[in-house]
Amino acid sequence: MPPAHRLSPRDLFVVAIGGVVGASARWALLEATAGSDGGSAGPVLLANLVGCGLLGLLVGVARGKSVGRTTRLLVGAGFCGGLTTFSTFAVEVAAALRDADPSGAVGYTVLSVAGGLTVFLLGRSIGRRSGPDSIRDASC
Amino acid sequence: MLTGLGFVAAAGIGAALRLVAVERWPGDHLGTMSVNVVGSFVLGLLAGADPTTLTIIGMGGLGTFTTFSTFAADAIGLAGTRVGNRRGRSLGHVVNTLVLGVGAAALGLTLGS
Repeated sequence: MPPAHRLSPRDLFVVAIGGVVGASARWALLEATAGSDGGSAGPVLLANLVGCGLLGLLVGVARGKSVGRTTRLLVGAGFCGGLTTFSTFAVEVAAALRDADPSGAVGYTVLSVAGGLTVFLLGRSIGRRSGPDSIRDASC
Repeated sequence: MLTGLGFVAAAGIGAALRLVAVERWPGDHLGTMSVNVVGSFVLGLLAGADPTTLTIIGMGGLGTFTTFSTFAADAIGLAGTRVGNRRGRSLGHVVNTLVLGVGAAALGLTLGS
């Protein structure tokens, strides 16, 4: 990654648009599963896994081909960042620990982290295969 | 309707603030980690708030301000850097983010209740 660009108002607008669309998808997922047991843990886990996979795909494709800064901001930092969330995950885990449910806390953490990393790698390898180039460089 | 508009505004602001924090911070995985820790603390504080506040500020603003996908990308990215103990840096980032994030959320839950 080259030294940080100076953020322009356009960058902020682009990331905000992607963020709103991603967050709305997360909200829709929560609404669609409202009433089913388990509260927000299941849909948030699903949103996080899908977002990790999509970001992996973008990083993989970006490796081989030129993916513009606008696309990276819109889809990566914007949509994937908005679809996924860390704060709800952290509060769910903290609440499980507070409610003396350590196995629930550990299970949810392992599913989220191991699942997120695995899906990210899966997405990245699929994305790389779709690109003509396979130069090794793990930064995005 | 108003809740929806509030959600959209909060999500847009959350995403833009995250970008500002991440791009200004030297070593961008620390920027994402800070965002996630701060957002987890504030969401913990708000846990007992009314449903509208939780939807707009919690799910919209803080939910979008914090991110899981960039956390995963940073963890994988650190494992691929050629500096120092790669696996150690990656694992350290995961553990630090989890401990600080869940700890901050627990602190917020305690202070907010």
